[in-house]
Amino acid sequence: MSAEVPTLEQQLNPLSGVDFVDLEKHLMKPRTMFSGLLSGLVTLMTLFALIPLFSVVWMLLWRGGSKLSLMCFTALPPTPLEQGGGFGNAIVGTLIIVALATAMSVPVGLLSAVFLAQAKSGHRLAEVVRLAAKVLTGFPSILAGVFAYGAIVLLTGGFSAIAGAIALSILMLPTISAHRGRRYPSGTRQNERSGIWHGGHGDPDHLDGAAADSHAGNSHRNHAGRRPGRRGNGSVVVHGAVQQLLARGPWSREPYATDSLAGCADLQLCRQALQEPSRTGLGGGPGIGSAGADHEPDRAKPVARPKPTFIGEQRCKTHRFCGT
Amino acid sequence: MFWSQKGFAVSAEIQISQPPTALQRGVDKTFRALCLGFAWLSVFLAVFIVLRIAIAAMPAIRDHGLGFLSGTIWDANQGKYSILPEIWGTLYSSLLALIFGTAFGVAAAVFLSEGFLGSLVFAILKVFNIHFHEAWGKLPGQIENLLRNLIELLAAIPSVVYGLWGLFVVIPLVRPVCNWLHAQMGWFPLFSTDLSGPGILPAAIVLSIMVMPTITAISREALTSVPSKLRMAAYGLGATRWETILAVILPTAFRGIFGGIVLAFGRALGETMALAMLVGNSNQISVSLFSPANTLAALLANNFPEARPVDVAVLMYAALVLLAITLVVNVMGALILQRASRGLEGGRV
Repeated sequence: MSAEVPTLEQQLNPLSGVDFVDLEKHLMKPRTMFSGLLSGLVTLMTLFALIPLFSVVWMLLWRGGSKLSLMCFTALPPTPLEQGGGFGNAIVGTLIIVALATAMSVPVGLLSAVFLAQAKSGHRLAEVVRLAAKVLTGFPSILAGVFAYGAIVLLTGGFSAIAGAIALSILMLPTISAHRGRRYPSGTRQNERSGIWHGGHGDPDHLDGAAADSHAGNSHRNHAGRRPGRRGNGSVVVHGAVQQLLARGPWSREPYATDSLAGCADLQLCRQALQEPSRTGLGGGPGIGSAGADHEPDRAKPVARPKPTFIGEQRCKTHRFCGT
Repeated sequence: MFWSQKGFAVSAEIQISQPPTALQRGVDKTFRALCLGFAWLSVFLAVFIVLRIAIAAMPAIRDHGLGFLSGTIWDANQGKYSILPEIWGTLYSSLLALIFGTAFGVAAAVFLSEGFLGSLVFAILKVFNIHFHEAWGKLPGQIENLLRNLIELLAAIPSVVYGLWGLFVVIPLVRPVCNWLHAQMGWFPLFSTDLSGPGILPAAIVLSIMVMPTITAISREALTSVPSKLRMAAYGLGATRWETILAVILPTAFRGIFGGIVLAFGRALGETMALAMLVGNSNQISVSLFSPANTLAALLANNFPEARPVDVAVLMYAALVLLAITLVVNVMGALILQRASRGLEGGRV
């Protein structure tokens, strides 16, 4: 009688008959060895890819470092067969051309970037501007020079700082206006984005969607060991979001937990505005958020509502803007 | 919806809100008009550049026609111009650079996005038996950031500096190897000449380093936006890390990576100064990796300074060809990337 019970358990036990030795991850198995070898290879390749950087810096220091002195930055180049001198003229020229090019390209790039960020998706001019930005992004520098040569040098009859600056500003333009509007923390933009080029109206559900969106995105991407950030008060969050906007380099990065925090900024503000009516309605009025239909095409719409654990305690219980 | 619903009413005495003043309206309207105007300006600029180069090239197009693209002679004294060797050199050096750059760029992207650093750091710390200390929690992330920034720093080095580096470091380094290869395996078409100095191979090596940051950045973005569900599902089925990467993650991110490679190709095609210094500026078509060649961008850079008005039209024609090649490649890359991000969004939902 008692001998039958273990056999029944053996039948019910899904692990019975499994050879545990077979499951063991042994280093000498082809699969594991292959995996380990490739890991090592990738590590070596990454480190190898960094050699040029140090090699370049070392070469410059080794070959040029000894000649470096204060005079280099001020003096003119020496005549042939003469020692000393410097490259002061080149430095001044660089400064002049970069300043001129910046003055030309920053207003155009910045304002067209504002336009791109504010235009609703599907706006025809915005699509054309994006295409133009794409065309200019990969524009070879020599062609900018050729253009400036044809358009300015040949017309004015001589080389000039203006011609150089115009060529340079063409190259700078796409980097400034870069079609990366979608990388802004969603909450920050959607608060401001009451629709300049489209009639915005309040959509309470959308706010919730924005938070869920960045939340979902984050949960996918924070595998590098970053914990979701803790909440702060509204002003700190907004400050963080602005800092992020400013800190964005030409290269994008994945959204971190802080992005998700920024995405919740509207929730935090909403809550504070509710409790302190003396603050002029940050996040209060009906114009908040953007139209739900204008959801950016390259952002996933959340299917599931976010779990209430992340900002659960912070969330407003009664107000429907904040989700429940 | 309004505060009044909540109970703490908007009192009549304290008027918080007010309609915008005329000045505010004016500023707002001006700002909108400015944004719209500058957006138009950037479109206009792109069109104008293309037209300007095309118009300047018209005389040469009339004179030389399509034979310009298929001939191999560039002789200013006889007035014979054609750019087939340059087109060949541009495509050949860019493709070679792309092969090296893709191998290293994608490897670095995988390394930086798949948590290798975490396990590497863990393994090293385990040797000293301090792997459970709190202080190391952020270390992998920090090292990862550092490595990523270092690789992106490669993109910040000016093209001329790369050219100098190629002349002083790369050419002396690869020359003995190349000449040995030529001596041993000269029958092989790729090694059929010896490396006398500048040549395709050093140019392609330097070019690959210049395009690698682009490939790494875009591939890394594509890899990190692969839903972690897929990764976890593969691990759950018992796949090893590399089985997961090769069979699940890379195929999912393939479109994004491919778009990045095409964009890098566009960048390689237009690279000027480093190539003008390293490629040898010789008007010939050769399959050999070690023979000198020329590229369109280097041709323009070398000939523009002392160009006569007749030459300028011819050079503009060459610029137009380069523009056409890069435009096609870049727009293709951008479209692939756009579709890739849409496809991934679909997978994520």
